[in-house]
Amino acid sequence: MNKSNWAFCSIVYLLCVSVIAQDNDNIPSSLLTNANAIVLSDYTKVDHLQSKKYVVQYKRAIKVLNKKGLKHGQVALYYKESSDKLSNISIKIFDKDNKLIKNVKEKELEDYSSGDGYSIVTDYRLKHFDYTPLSYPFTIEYSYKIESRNTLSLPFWRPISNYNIAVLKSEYDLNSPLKIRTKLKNFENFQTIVQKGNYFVMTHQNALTKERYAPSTKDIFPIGIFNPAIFNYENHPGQFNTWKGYGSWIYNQFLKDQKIENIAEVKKDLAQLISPSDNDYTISKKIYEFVQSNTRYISISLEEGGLNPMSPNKVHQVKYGDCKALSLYTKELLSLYDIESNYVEICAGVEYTDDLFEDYPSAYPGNHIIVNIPLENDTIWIDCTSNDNPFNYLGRFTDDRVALEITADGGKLIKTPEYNETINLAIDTVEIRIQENQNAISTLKSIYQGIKIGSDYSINNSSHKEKEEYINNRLSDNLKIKKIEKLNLNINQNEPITQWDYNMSLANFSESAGDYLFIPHEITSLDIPILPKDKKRKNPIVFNRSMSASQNITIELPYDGEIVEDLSFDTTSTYGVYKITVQKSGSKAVQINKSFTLFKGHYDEKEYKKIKSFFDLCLKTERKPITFIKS
Amino acid sequence: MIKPIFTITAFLLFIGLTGYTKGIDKELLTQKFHPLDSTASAAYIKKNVEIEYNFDNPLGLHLEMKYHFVIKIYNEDGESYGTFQVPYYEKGGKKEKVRKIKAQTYNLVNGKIKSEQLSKKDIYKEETSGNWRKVTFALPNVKPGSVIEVQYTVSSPYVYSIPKWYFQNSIPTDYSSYIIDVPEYFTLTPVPTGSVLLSNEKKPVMSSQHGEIRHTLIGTKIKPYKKDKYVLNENDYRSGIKFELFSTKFPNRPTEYYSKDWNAIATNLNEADYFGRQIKKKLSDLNSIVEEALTIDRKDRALFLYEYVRSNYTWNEKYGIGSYDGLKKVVSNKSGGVGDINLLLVNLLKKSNLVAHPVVMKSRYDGLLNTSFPTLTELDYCIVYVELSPDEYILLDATSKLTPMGELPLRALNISGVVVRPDGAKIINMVNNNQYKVQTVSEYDVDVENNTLIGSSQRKRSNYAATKFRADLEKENNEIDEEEDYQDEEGEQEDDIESYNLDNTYEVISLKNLEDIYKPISLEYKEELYTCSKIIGNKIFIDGSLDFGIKDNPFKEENREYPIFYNNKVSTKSIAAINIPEGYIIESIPESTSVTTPTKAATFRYDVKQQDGKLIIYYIFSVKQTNVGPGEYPALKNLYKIAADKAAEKIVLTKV
Repeated sequence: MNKSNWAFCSIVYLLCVSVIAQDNDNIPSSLLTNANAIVLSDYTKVDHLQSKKYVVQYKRAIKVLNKKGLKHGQVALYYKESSDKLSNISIKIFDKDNKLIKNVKEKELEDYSSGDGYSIVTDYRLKHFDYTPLSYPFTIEYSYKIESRNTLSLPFWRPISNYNIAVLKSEYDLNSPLKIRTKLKNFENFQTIVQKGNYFVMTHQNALTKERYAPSTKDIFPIGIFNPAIFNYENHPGQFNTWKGYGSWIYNQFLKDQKIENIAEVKKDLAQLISPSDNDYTISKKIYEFVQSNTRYISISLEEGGLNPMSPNKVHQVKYGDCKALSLYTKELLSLYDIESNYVEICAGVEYTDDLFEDYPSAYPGNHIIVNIPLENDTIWIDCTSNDNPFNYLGRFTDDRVALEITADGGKLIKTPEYNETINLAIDTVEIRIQENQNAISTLKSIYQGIKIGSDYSINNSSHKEKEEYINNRLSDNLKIKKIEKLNLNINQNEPITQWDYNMSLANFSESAGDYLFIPHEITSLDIPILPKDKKRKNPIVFNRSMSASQNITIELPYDGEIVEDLSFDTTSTYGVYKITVQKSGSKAVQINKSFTLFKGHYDEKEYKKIKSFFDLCLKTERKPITFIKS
Repeated sequence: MIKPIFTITAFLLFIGLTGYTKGIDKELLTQKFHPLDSTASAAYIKKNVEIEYNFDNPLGLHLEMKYHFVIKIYNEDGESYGTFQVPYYEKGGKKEKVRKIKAQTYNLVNGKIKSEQLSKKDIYKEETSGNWRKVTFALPNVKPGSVIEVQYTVSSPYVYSIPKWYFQNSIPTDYSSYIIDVPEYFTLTPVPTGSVLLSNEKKPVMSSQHGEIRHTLIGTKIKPYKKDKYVLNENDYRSGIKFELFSTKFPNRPTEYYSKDWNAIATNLNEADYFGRQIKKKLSDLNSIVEEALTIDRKDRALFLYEYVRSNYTWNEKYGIGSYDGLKKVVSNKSGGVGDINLLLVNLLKKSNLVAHPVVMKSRYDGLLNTSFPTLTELDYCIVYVELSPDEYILLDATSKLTPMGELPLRALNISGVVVRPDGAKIINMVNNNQYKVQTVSEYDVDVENNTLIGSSQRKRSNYAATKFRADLEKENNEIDEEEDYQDEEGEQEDDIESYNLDNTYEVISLKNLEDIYKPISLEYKEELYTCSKIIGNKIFIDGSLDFGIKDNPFKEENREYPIFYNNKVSTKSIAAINIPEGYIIESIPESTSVTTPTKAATFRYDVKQQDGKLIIYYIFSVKQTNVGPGEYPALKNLYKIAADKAAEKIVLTKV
């Protein structure tokens, strides 16, 4: 790595010191550490006096310290056109001396349709103010009022919205004579929060920093969730205080009457695929594959938006829908063949396995719908929005977490399948031939299973060039790759297994000096965790999934010789297992076998040094080249 | 009897040769991949537009642009072509409209072609932002193998600006036609880009009311454009056509010229409210600045004014050649777009009796300006030309807070620009003077026991190397992680690479002149290098260029068609001394090498010498030209290869 890139890290420290010295507000300097912005004051007042309405008045003053903090100073007011009324918008900007420099008029706000990236049409809207500061720091103070008819959930209190934001003061005041179920998550970790009845305040909270392999922010940031016992959502009244009740409400309001009407026509389309002798498993698989190949995932949210799926008839006609529509459609197709299946609400996300709150029925944090099919011998799990997943495989998006099955009997908490190191496997077979000029040509075969398949299924549809760039990510950074050729990707339609075959030509693969030859053996990555030197680890260390990798590498040399030192080595700990053997194979070849397993785990922050030194030892061994001497 | 057959055959041959509109037939529906590019996810079978000027009420004079697309989808990646988003503009009374949308999807079902219409209910209109709207629709039942056909018409009152049309696209195009009927009142100049052969025909339209001439341009069997490395903008090479307005002559009105030549454009600009008038504007708030400037020596006056604007005004990241809200507003807001800030500088320079003019151009990543086709609409950037003496001038851009006078920010570096003088225009070739200059002197001891090189370096970063360092540092502090938009709770990764403990460590012990942008930056580091040496038995192997220099060849392709554009000139020099440890002698050192490309565009020199018990590595890499012609590519590629090979060689020390 180039020397010049590294100076920054040290210089950042030097500059931080100068920032602290300069601040002249009544802000304690400790609050400036690691902060790109400081919430000077934040005030949410919620009045919920009738079950069908709430009014929130919001006021916030945030001091943005540098360009990285600018995004925290943006004013973004989300509202839903059909049910929310947004008013009394005021935005003021102050310079570093707290002098008013701008008073923003409402018409200067841009009103957008709020895209979630997947919607092409939506009635969720956003008023946004785009501000270019002349210099830092600056303070932005804004306030607004929303009157809403949707009381499924009152506004949250999230005093810490992101890493690198400090909080001087944040308040939440709930005024309601009605019954409200409250959940105060992660509050116990914050001495800076005080509660008095339905009034909450946080003061003098330092900015949090993101650590590698830290738990989900849902397990770190404090959040106050307030769900009225009796509520209204888009003209659907309801009440629940159990998951069973929540599921019942969803089912009765949005799912119950959505059936396929033109059954004969739909069955005709499917009849060509399904034969009378097929059992339930086969029929389910065929229907899933039919949905995958005949529909596209697009999100259309209008009118009833968030919770109401588009009708299965419409999906059949236009061949697209969002997760709710496609899941319901699949469920109805299965029911045409008398196969029972369940609509499952879940909190999806690739990086973390966030559970629904087992002790607190709530729409949040659910954000996705999948389907499960309980068959006699097994329960099948499918994600109808994925065009590529093999049948009965969820992947990292929805695996291993607590979700909610929603049926006519109401809601029931269940857990989605967990994929462990017997399923999450990478097996690489590499043959390399080193030439006299230290260049090398090699043949590789990599088989990936379970979550190791990564995005292989979707990259399968991309161009050749994109596939080459993608496979590059699995190769060691130290290789000087000239060309990747004869790249072939095979994906298995029935199981989550993919195979990559390709050839590579490398420049300066080995290094020579006189009779000595230095041969690297890190070709493809074993995915050993890299942990930074700790300043003082604050959060637990989390490895969300177990996985395993093994490699079999044969290196042919341009001449006879001997291995100078034996690199064979193995080490085991509660965190993982690493093993490598290096031996000569014939007179002109070296055979290397290695394997690495990472165990799923959740470890206390005090164990950080121990965990780091274990993985560093594995990584050091990976990077130590084999020394070979000519004979 | 032979004649009729001959005629028929000739007719059929004609159809085949011109590759006229392919029908949507079984052959097309079963086609698995495109003959021009088997990896394409989709292809345009037809991509046509017909443009007419309409004079009817109540819309008044407007453009009617009829679009017709036929697209074949080969795989899931191509399915996104089945979703259309058509943007349109509405400001006050002047509204564009998207109408007459007709679309259908064709699929092969049981050997028969089945078509499904797009329903009107599935066409949505949406406001995106400000005056922009969009019409969106998703065709039904689009899947691999499908062929879709889409037609719609855009009516636009903005008759003076006809959108650019691309024949060449990122997917193969079987047939693309551009037909425009131009009434006699308009004279348009076609400005082409790219090199695909098009057929071009001009003829009068029969039964026209306004003396229309029809221009027909057709391209067939067009390969998708490639994305090469080190290219400014692929749209420069992508085949397309833009009809620029040259002049208008309406009945009983005089001829109005729009883009006759650069001089006419300069005249236009000099009289424009957003350009010339702003340069002459009285800005009484800044009288004191001008007064002070006049007391300064002429040779330092430009620097004073440049510094004033650079330090006191913030660029809001908006592009554009002029000041559309006026300089008075810029002075009160203390911020503005490119045109605002640089025209303000021109205003002040002129008031201070210096010879200064604005330079209009295309920003770097917008592509190359085709100076043979004078056009106002392609320009998006403006900088300042100041005469230092009758034969010497300097170009300034006050939008960048970190750029000293004498350098230009990367976005302002292009090949040509147009100086707008009171008496006309002058095209200049812009020379990139930014020089990335770094000098490093290091000394190391070898810690044999721990296989580490321990030492320190002194580094001086001058000119652009210092500017880039300051800019990178600011970005480092201020980088907005785009991924956060999607994972908005994730925060920023504290990626403190130096602390991974597996690679080399550097500790900055002194840093000078970071704040003064006119001074080079001096740094001193303490280092511990773990990865540059190997100890085997009684030998020490040290990497030939330690941890610096070129380790890999960035040029991988065999051939290159386009010039290579460097962002700046380069001059890097490193001298590293390694103290030979007690009890060791030098067994071998890599040979010296020196290589230069034929036009001396790039140079590499490597030398290792022994001197007073030390080994001294001399390393020089320089690039003297920022545009290198494709003919020099093989030599340039070879220079990098030699450097990368040298880095792999070893210095070998043996214990006595």
